[in-house]
Amino acid sequence: MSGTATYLWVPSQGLAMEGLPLRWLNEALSDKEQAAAIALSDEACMQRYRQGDDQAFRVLYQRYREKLHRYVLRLSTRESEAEEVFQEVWIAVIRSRDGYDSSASFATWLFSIAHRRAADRWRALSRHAPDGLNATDDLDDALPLSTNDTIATPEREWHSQSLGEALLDAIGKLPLPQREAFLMKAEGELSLDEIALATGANRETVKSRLRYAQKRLREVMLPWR
Amino acid sequence: MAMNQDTDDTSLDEAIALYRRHAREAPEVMVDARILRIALNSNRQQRGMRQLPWLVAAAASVTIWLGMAQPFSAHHATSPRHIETHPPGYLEGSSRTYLLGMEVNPPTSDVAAYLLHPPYTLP
Repeated sequence: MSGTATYLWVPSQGLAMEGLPLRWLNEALSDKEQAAAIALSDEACMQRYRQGDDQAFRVLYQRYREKLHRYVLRLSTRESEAEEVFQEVWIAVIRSRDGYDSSASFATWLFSIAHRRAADRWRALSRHAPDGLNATDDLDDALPLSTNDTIATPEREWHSQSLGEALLDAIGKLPLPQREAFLMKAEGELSLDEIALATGANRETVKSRLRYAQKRLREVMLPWR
Repeated sequence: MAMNQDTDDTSLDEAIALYRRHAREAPEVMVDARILRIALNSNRQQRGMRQLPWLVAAAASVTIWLGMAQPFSAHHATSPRHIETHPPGYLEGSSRTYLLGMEVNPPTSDVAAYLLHPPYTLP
Protein backbone atom coordinates (compact mmCIF):
# COMPACT_ATOMS: atom_id res chain seq x y z
CA MET A 1 0.00 0.00 0.00
CA SER A 2 2.83 2.33 0.81
CA GLY A 3 4.24 2.03 -2.69
CA THR A 4 1.01 3.06 -4.34
CA ALA A 5 -0.32 5.36 -1.69
CA THR A 6 -0.25 8.37 -3.95
CA TYR A 7 -2.54 6.64 -6.43
CA LEU A 8 -5.27 5.66 -4.03
CA TRP A 9 -8.79 6.79 -4.53
CA VAL A 10 -9.45 9.35 -1.84
CA PRO A 11 -12.90 10.86 -2.40
CA SER A 12 -12.54 13.49 0.29
CA GLN A 13 -9.48 15.08 -1.27
CA GLY A 14 -10.56 15.54 -4.83
CA LEU A 15 -11.45 18.58 -6.84
CA ALA A 16 -15.12 19.41 -6.79
CA MET A 17 -15.45 18.59 -10.47
CA GLU A 18 -17.67 15.98 -12.04
CA GLY A 19 -16.96 13.33 -9.46
CA LEU A 20 -13.27 13.07 -10.22
CA PRO A 21 -11.81 13.01 -6.76
CA LEU A 22 -8.41 11.51 -7.31
CA ARG A 23 -5.79 12.50 -4.83
CA TRP A 24 -2.91 11.85 -7.15
CA LEU A 25 -4.30 14.20 -9.73
CA ASN A 26 -4.37 16.97 -7.19
CA GLU A 27 -1.11 16.38 -5.43
CA ALA A 28 1.27 19.29 -5.53
CA LEU A 29 -1.68 21.58 -6.20
CA SER A 30 -2.36 23.99 -3.38
CA ASP A 31 -5.91 25.12 -2.68
CA LYS A 32 -5.16 28.40 -4.37
CA GLU A 33 -3.72 26.67 -7.41
CA GLN A 34 -6.68 24.31 -7.58
CA ALA A 35 -9.12 27.19 -7.50
CA ALA A 36 -7.19 28.98 -10.20
CA ALA A 37 -6.98 25.84 -12.32
CA ILE A 38 -10.71 25.16 -12.07
CA ALA A 39 -11.45 28.68 -13.24
CA LEU A 40 -9.37 28.24 -16.38
CA SER A 41 -10.98 27.24 -19.65
CA ASP A 42 -9.76 24.16 -21.51
CA GLU A 43 -8.07 26.35 -24.06
CA ALA A 44 -6.31 28.41 -21.39
CA CYS A 45 -5.13 25.20 -19.70
CA MET A 46 -3.75 23.95 -23.00
CA GLN A 47 -2.01 27.27 -23.55
CA ARG A 48 -0.43 27.04 -20.12
CA TYR A 49 0.62 23.46 -20.69
CA ARG A 50 2.31 24.51 -23.91
CA GLN A 51 4.25 27.04 -21.88
CA GLY A 52 5.48 24.31 -19.56
CA ASP A 53 2.81 24.22 -16.84
CA ASP A 54 2.39 20.56 -15.87
CA GLN A 55 -0.53 21.26 -13.56
CA ALA A 56 -2.54 22.66 -16.44
CA PHE A 57 -2.28 19.30 -18.17
CA ARG A 58 -3.43 17.54 -15.04
CA VAL A 59 -6.53 19.70 -14.96
CA LEU A 60 -7.25 18.98 -18.62
CA TYR A 61 -6.66 15.30 -18.15
CA GLN A 62 -8.93 15.22 -15.16
CA ARG A 63 -11.70 16.92 -17.11
CA TYR A 64 -11.58 14.57 -20.07
CA ARG A 65 -10.18 11.24 -18.89
CA GLU A 66 -13.53 9.57 -18.26
CA LYS A 67 -15.26 11.11 -21.25
CA LEU A 68 -12.57 10.05 -23.66
CA HIS A 69 -12.27 6.64 -22.06
CA ARG A 70 -15.97 5.95 -22.48
CA TYR A 71 -15.87 7.23 -26.05
CA VAL A 72 -13.13 4.83 -27.13
CA LEU A 73 -14.50 2.04 -24.97
CA ARG A 74 -17.84 2.11 -26.76
CA LEU A 75 -16.25 2.27 -30.18
CA SER A 76 -14.06 -0.75 -29.57
CA THR A 77 -14.83 -4.39 -29.10
CA ARG A 78 -12.30 -5.10 -26.36
CA GLU A 79 -11.34 -3.14 -23.29
CA SER A 80 -7.63 -3.65 -23.91
CA GLU A 81 -8.04 -2.20 -27.39
CA ALA A 82 -9.86 0.82 -25.96
CA GLU A 83 -7.11 1.32 -23.40
CA GLU A 84 -4.45 1.36 -26.11
CA VAL A 85 -6.35 3.89 -28.18
CA PHE A 86 -7.00 5.97 -25.07
CA GLN A 87 -3.28 6.15 -24.34
CA GLU A 88 -2.38 6.83 -27.95
CA VAL A 89 -4.77 9.77 -28.01
CA TRP A 90 -3.29 11.38 -24.91
CA ILE A 91 0.24 10.79 -26.11
CA ALA A 92 -0.73 12.47 -29.38
CA VAL A 93 -2.11 15.40 -27.40
CA ILE A 94 1.14 15.66 -25.46
CA ARG A 95 3.38 15.41 -28.50
CA SER A 96 1.40 17.70 -30.76
CA ARG A 97 0.59 20.31 -28.15
CA ASP A 98 2.52 22.95 -30.05
CA GLY A 99 0.29 22.36 -33.05
CA TYR A 100 -2.89 23.09 -31.12
CA ASP A 101 -4.76 26.12 -32.38
CA SER A 102 -6.30 27.79 -29.36
CA SER A 103 -9.02 29.35 -31.50
CA ALA A 104 -10.63 25.90 -31.78
CA SER A 105 -12.23 24.20 -28.82
CA PHE A 106 -10.01 21.75 -27.00
CA ALA A 107 -12.78 19.16 -26.88
CA THR A 108 -13.15 19.23 -30.66
CA TRP A 109 -9.40 18.87 -31.09
CA LEU A 110 -9.22 16.02 -28.59
CA PHE A 111 -12.08 14.08 -30.13
CA SER A 112 -10.81 14.65 -33.65
CA ILE A 113 -7.52 13.05 -32.59
CA ALA A 114 -9.46 10.23 -30.98
CA HIS A 115 -11.50 9.75 -34.15
CA ARG A 116 -8.37 9.51 -36.29
CA ARG A 117 -6.56 7.20 -33.90
CA ALA A 118 -9.54 4.92 -33.58
CA ALA A 119 -10.10 4.88 -37.33
CA ASP A 120 -6.44 4.10 -38.00
CA ARG A 121 -6.37 1.30 -35.51
CA TRP A 122 -9.57 -0.34 -36.56
CA ARG A 123 -8.71 0.04 -40.19
CA ALA A 124 -5.44 -1.71 -39.50
CA LEU A 125 -7.35 -4.44 -37.75
CA SER A 126 -9.59 -4.74 -40.81
CA ARG A 127 -12.65 -3.66 -38.99
CA HIS A 128 -15.09 -1.00 -39.97
CA ALA A 129 -13.52 2.36 -39.31
CA PRO A 130 -15.78 5.04 -37.88
CA ASP A 131 -14.79 7.61 -40.46
CA GLY A 132 -17.56 7.26 -42.98
CA LEU A 133 -15.26 5.59 -45.47
CA ASN A 134 -15.96 2.03 -44.56
CA ALA A 135 -19.06 2.51 -42.54
CA THR A 136 -22.44 3.20 -43.95
CA ASP A 137 -24.73 6.14 -43.36
CA ASP A 138 -27.60 4.69 -45.28
CA LEU A 139 -30.16 4.00 -42.62
CA ASP A 140 -31.70 1.16 -44.62
CA ASP A 141 -28.33 -0.48 -45.14
CA ALA A 142 -27.08 0.12 -41.65
CA LEU A 143 -26.66 -2.87 -39.43
CA PRO A 144 -30.13 -3.24 -37.97
CA LEU A 145 -30.90 -4.13 -34.43
CA SER A 146 -32.38 -7.56 -34.13
CA THR A 147 -36.13 -7.98 -33.99
CA ASN A 148 -35.90 -8.74 -30.33
CA ASP A 149 -33.98 -5.52 -29.74
CA THR A 150 -36.46 -3.46 -31.71
CA ILE A 151 -39.42 -4.66 -29.74
CA ALA A 152 -37.49 -5.02 -26.53
CA THR A 153 -39.42 -5.27 -23.32
CA PRO A 154 -38.14 -5.67 -19.78
CA GLU A 155 -39.13 -9.34 -19.91
CA ARG A 156 -37.40 -10.14 -23.18
CA GLU A 157 -34.30 -8.10 -22.35
CA TRP A 158 -33.36 -10.62 -19.68
CA HIS A 159 -29.76 -9.42 -19.59
CA SER A 160 -30.71 -5.85 -18.95
CA GLN A 161 -31.56 -5.04 -15.36
CA SER A 162 -32.61 -1.48 -15.98
CA LEU A 163 -33.43 1.02 -18.64
CA GLY A 164 -29.94 2.42 -18.34
CA GLU A 165 -28.38 -0.92 -19.07
CA ALA A 166 -30.68 -1.44 -21.99
CA LEU A 167 -29.75 1.96 -23.32
CA LEU A 168 -26.03 1.25 -23.03
CA ASP A 169 -26.62 -2.03 -24.78
CA ALA A 170 -28.53 -0.32 -27.56
CA ILE A 171 -25.80 2.27 -27.98
CA GLY A 172 -23.31 -0.54 -28.37
CA LYS A 173 -25.43 -1.97 -31.18
CA LEU A 174 -25.67 1.23 -33.17
CA PRO A 175 -23.67 1.35 -36.41
CA LEU A 176 -20.28 2.94 -35.81
CA PRO A 177 -20.86 6.34 -37.44
CA GLN A 178 -24.14 6.84 -35.57
CA ARG A 179 -22.64 5.55 -32.34
CA GLU A 180 -19.66 7.85 -32.69
CA ALA A 181 -21.83 10.88 -33.37
CA PHE A 182 -23.95 10.10 -30.32
CA LEU A 183 -20.89 9.61 -28.11
CA MET A 184 -19.25 12.82 -29.27
CA LYS A 185 -22.41 14.64 -28.32
CA ALA A 186 -22.98 12.81 -25.05
CA GLU A 187 -19.39 12.65 -23.85
CA GLY A 188 -17.66 15.52 -25.61
CA GLU A 189 -20.70 17.81 -25.57
CA LEU A 190 -19.83 18.76 -29.12
CA SER A 191 -22.22 20.62 -31.39
CA LEU A 192 -23.19 19.39 -34.85
CA ASP A 193 -20.54 21.59 -36.43
CA GLU A 194 -17.88 20.41 -34.01
CA ILE A 195 -18.76 16.75 -34.61
CA ALA A 196 -18.58 17.42 -38.34
CA LEU A 197 -15.17 19.01 -37.87
CA ALA A 198 -13.89 16.19 -35.70
CA THR A 199 -15.10 13.40 -37.98
CA GLY A 200 -14.54 15.06 -41.34
CA ALA A 201 -18.17 14.59 -42.28
CA ASN A 202 -20.51 17.37 -43.32
CA ARG A 203 -23.10 18.86 -41.00
CA GLU A 204 -26.09 17.22 -42.65
CA THR A 205 -24.48 13.82 -42.47
CA VAL A 206 -23.84 14.27 -38.78
CA LYS A 207 -27.40 15.42 -38.27
CA SER A 208 -28.66 12.36 -40.08
CA ARG A 209 -26.48 10.09 -37.95
CA LEU A 210 -27.79 11.64 -34.76
CA ARG A 211 -31.37 11.33 -35.94
CA TYR A 212 -30.84 7.67 -36.61
CA ALA A 213 -29.26 7.12 -33.21
CA GLN A 214 -32.07 9.03 -31.59
CA LYS A 215 -34.69 6.92 -33.38
CA ARG A 216 -33.11 3.65 -32.35
CA LEU A 217 -32.60 4.69 -28.75
CA ARG A 218 -36.13 6.00 -28.47
CA GLU A 219 -37.42 2.62 -29.58
CA VAL A 220 -35.38 0.96 -26.89
CA MET A 221 -36.60 3.32 -24.18
CA LEU A 222 -40.25 3.08 -25.22
CA PRO A 223 -41.17 -0.12 -23.35
CA TRP A 224 -40.04 1.47 -20.07
CA ARG A 225 -42.41 4.40 -20.32
CA MET B 1 -35.19 19.30 -19.98
CA ALA B 2 -33.85 21.75 -22.49
CA MET B 3 -34.82 21.29 -26.10
CA ASN B 4 -31.97 19.91 -28.15
CA GLN B 5 -31.24 22.71 -30.60
CA ASP B 6 -29.51 20.50 -33.13
CA THR B 7 -32.24 17.97 -33.63
CA ASP B 8 -35.34 19.70 -32.32
CA ASP B 9 -36.26 16.69 -30.28
CA THR B 10 -36.17 16.14 -26.58
CA SER B 11 -35.78 12.39 -26.92
CA LEU B 12 -32.11 12.78 -27.80
CA ASP B 13 -31.62 14.93 -24.70
CA GLU B 14 -33.37 12.26 -22.68
CA ALA B 15 -31.18 9.54 -24.11
CA ILE B 16 -28.05 11.57 -23.43
CA ALA B 17 -29.10 12.36 -19.86
CA LEU B 18 -29.94 8.73 -19.22
CA TYR B 19 -26.69 7.63 -20.79
CA ARG B 20 -24.67 9.99 -18.61
CA ARG B 21 -26.35 8.66 -15.49
CA HIS B 22 -25.50 5.07 -16.29
CA ALA B 23 -22.16 5.27 -18.09
CA ARG B 24 -19.67 5.43 -15.26
CA GLU B 25 -16.62 3.66 -16.65
CA ALA B 26 -13.24 5.22 -15.94
CA PRO B 27 -9.68 4.42 -17.00
CA GLU B 28 -7.52 2.44 -14.65
CA VAL B 29 -5.39 4.36 -12.21
CA MET B 30 -2.18 2.92 -13.63
CA VAL B 31 -3.13 4.19 -17.07
CA ASP B 32 -3.66 7.63 -15.58
CA ALA B 33 -0.28 7.47 -13.89
CA ARG B 34 1.44 6.40 -17.11
CA ILE B 35 -0.04 9.23 -19.14
CA LEU B 36 0.72 11.87 -16.53
CA ARG B 37 4.29 10.61 -16.31
CA ILE B 38 4.65 10.91 -20.07
CA ALA B 39 3.25 14.44 -19.96
CA LEU B 40 5.63 15.41 -17.19
CA ASN B 41 8.68 13.91 -18.90
CA SER B 42 7.76 15.52 -22.18
CA ASN B 43 7.59 18.93 -20.55
CA ARG B 44 10.93 18.37 -18.87
CA GLN B 45 12.49 17.46 -22.19
CA GLN B 46 10.99 20.53 -23.80
CA ARG B 47 12.31 22.72 -21.04
CA GLY B 48 15.72 21.14 -21.56
CA MET B 49 15.55 21.86 -25.27
CA ARG B 50 14.62 25.45 -24.54
CA GLN B 51 17.69 25.81 -22.31
CA LEU B 52 19.99 24.14 -24.81
CA PRO B 53 20.85 27.31 -26.80
CA TRP B 54 21.78 29.06 -23.55
CA LEU B 55 23.99 26.16 -22.51
CA VAL B 56 25.68 26.11 -25.91
CA ALA B 57 26.21 29.85 -25.76
CA ALA B 58 27.65 29.58 -22.26
CA ALA B 59 30.00 26.78 -23.31
CA ALA B 60 31.11 28.79 -26.33
CA SER B 61 31.77 31.82 -24.13
CA VAL B 62 33.88 29.76 -21.76
CA THR B 63 35.83 28.29 -24.65
CA ILE B 64 36.51 31.73 -26.11
CA TRP B 65 37.47 33.10 -22.72
CA LEU B 66 39.91 30.26 -22.11
CA GLY B 67 41.37 30.81 -25.55
CA MET B 68 41.87 34.50 -24.89
CA ALA B 69 43.42 33.78 -21.52
CA GLN B 70 46.28 31.77 -23.05
CA PRO B 71 49.73 33.53 -22.88
CA PHE B 72 50.54 35.33 -26.11
CA SER B 73 53.92 33.67 -26.23
CA ALA B 74 52.22 30.45 -26.99
CA HIS B 75 51.08 31.87 -30.32
CA HIS B 76 54.33 33.69 -31.13
CA ALA B 77 56.11 32.72 -34.29
CA THR B 78 59.29 32.09 -32.33
CA SER B 79 57.87 29.66 -29.82
CA PRO B 80 60.35 27.29 -28.12
CA ARG B 81 59.06 24.52 -30.36
CA HIS B 82 60.50 26.37 -33.36
CA ILE B 83 63.70 27.46 -31.70
CA GLU B 84 64.81 23.92 -31.51
CA THR B 85 64.41 23.44 -35.25
CA HIS B 86 66.32 26.62 -36.32
CA PRO B 87 70.10 26.60 -36.86
CA PRO B 88 72.22 28.47 -34.32
CA GLY B 89 72.24 32.29 -34.92
CA TYR B 90 69.06 32.22 -37.03
CA LEU B 91 67.00 34.23 -34.56
CA GLU B 92 69.66 36.88 -34.11
CA GLY B 93 69.98 37.24 -37.86
CA SER B 94 66.25 37.51 -38.48
CA SER B 95 65.87 40.08 -35.68
CA ARG B 96 68.69 42.16 -37.09
CA THR B 97 67.12 42.08 -40.55
CA TYR B 98 63.79 43.18 -39.12
CA LEU B 99 65.32 46.06 -37.17
CA LEU B 100 67.33 47.23 -40.17
CA GLY B 101 64.20 47.30 -42.28
CA MET B 102 62.31 49.54 -39.84
CA GLU B 103 61.49 53.15 -40.79
CA VAL B 104 63.75 55.35 -38.70
CA ASN B 105 63.34 58.71 -40.47
CA PRO B 106 61.35 61.39 -38.58
CA PRO B 107 57.77 62.05 -39.78
CA THR B 108 57.57 64.45 -42.67
CA SER B 109 54.17 65.96 -41.80
CA ASP B 110 51.96 66.72 -38.83
CA VAL B 111 49.55 64.02 -39.90
CA ALA B 112 52.32 61.41 -40.08
CA ALA B 113 53.58 62.57 -36.70
CA TYR B 114 50.11 62.21 -35.24
CA LEU B 115 49.65 58.73 -36.71
CA LEU B 116 53.04 57.53 -35.50
CA HIS B 117 52.48 58.62 -31.92
CA PRO B 118 49.57 57.90 -29.61
CA PRO B 119 47.59 61.03 -28.67
CA TYR B 120 48.75 60.98 -25.06
CA THR B 121 52.33 61.47 -26.13
CA LEU B 122 51.53 64.64 -28.04
CA PRO B 123 51.85 67.98 -26.30
